[in-house]
Amino acid sequence: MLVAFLKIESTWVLTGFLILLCFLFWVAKKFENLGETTNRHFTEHRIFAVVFGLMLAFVIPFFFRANPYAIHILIMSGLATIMSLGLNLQIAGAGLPNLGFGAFYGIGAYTSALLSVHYGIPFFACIVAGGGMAVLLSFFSGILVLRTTHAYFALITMSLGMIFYLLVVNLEWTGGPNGIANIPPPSVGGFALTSPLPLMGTELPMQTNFFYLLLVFMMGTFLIFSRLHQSRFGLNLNSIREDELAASCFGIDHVRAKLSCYCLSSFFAGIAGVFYAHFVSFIHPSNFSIHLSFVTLSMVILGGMNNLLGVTLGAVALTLIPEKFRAFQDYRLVLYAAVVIFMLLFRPKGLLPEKVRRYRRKVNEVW
Amino acid sequence: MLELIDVSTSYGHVGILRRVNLRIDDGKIVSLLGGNGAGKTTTLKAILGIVKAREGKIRFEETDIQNWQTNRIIQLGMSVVPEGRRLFLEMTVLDNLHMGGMRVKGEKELKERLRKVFEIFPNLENQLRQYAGTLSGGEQAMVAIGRGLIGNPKILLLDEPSLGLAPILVEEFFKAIKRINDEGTTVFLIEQNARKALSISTTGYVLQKGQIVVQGSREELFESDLIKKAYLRN
Repeated sequence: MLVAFLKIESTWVLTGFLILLCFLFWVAKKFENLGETTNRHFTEHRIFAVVFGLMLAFVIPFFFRANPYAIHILIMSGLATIMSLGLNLQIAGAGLPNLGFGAFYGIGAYTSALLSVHYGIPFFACIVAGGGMAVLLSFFSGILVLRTTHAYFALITMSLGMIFYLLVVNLEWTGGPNGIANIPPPSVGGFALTSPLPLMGTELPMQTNFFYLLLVFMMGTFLIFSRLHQSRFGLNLNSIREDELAASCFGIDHVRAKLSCYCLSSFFAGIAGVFYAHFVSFIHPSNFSIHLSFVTLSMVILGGMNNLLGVTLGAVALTLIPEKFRAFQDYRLVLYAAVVIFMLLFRPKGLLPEKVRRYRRKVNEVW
Repeated sequence: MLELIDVSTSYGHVGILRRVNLRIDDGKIVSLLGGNGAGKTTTLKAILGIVKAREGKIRFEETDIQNWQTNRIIQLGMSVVPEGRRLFLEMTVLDNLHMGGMRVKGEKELKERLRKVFEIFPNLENQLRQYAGTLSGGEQAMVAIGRGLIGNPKILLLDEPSLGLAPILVEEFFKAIKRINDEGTTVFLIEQNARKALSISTTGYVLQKGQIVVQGSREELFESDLIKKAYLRN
């Protein structure tokens, strides 16, 4: 179905598809348990789902041999997933409504672009540098900003996002309004990722290289966020989200916990930014405006607060749908706003609800 | 074990506690009584470091803790059941109980502590996967106390645990608190229900307008005119 969706070109069919989606949504609302059931299935058949998913992902580029742009879109949705997972930890995990998250994506992208264009630093070192810079800047901004809560925090982070945009647009050494061009592609052992990939008898377009590399990143990201959610750290963050004072009454240093969460998520945003810069080889300030933060926010809200799979779905959906609906190009922003409003009105928990925390066997076997 | 020495606090210029002296010995149950607005919860907040003591010392087992951060104070071995429970409503009961277990290392010990809690509150065992917000008031109170107990604290601080509970449940709770104390935990109980609180306490203090006006053993307090008139009138 996904493959078919990506191949559709006609506007009318797309509109019909959209209506179908709304209908499905209405059905889902009727059956409240759908989310819980989906969660349960994915938990029980976890290993199968992962293996199957990986096999599917491996095979996808073969389908799109003739249509590299489709792979491009999938890569963008993968990057969006990494971003959304990071933002999810902040919003849904710790209750920090961060509206300036796109800035860290931009920090990663710009750091890496500048380093590789001006100093020829290789890709994998750039990843560390970009991620590291994002962590550094998030640490310092976090110390200032994490004193505020809720609406004030949202406002302040939003302005941080805007500050970043204004800085990169106006400063000379960031390329200003011209952006940075000719960012060299990564190369693995001499094989530059911009050359086509010969695999299993056919030549796959060069996007495939990035696709597979991204898959590796995504698996790592998923693993880390999944472990975090199940861990003591995730539990502490949830309690801070609920009631900060009560959390400190149970021994949690909420300052340190919030700062860790903030910096960790920013690291992933930075990495995604680095990947993006080397993938499209040209970055421009308009990629990193406040728009990006809002889009990521809507992905998290759509997908399901604190549910990794849901957030992934949200990210993929909100990347694919606007791409296919290029006919409605002008209304893209309306789409995002509509999604957020719609979700908050009718299904605030998102597509998939939060998973009940698993405890390992020792506790589970009795209860 | 826990001592407040000449503690005074204020919110801005408004004095709340004035030279409060309290002493909680090992293994005892000590009650702090008083009407609304007397400063009972502020006393608890001062102990926990949520409100800073302007003057005076707070000493827990030989350590001066009056300027410490809340989470460090807790890690010394205190557990608190705050006023109004303050459960984490969007988390499950098991998660809430787990939250109290900062000092619990490893799932095996967690299981042991959970067992201990279930001995006192057997009903909780069936509700582990429920969201705390869906429980009734009495059940929430049980979770709150369970959450305090899980960490095997040296001292358990309770702020009006019987608030808003049906009278039958209140009876159960005070029995449970007595039982917790019998098993070795020191208890500091802040209550408005003077009769019930005194019935299980060893010593008590009465706070009025931020000052201790009466203190003594249970018997002394029962005899005191002030208590009789103000709190025990039938």
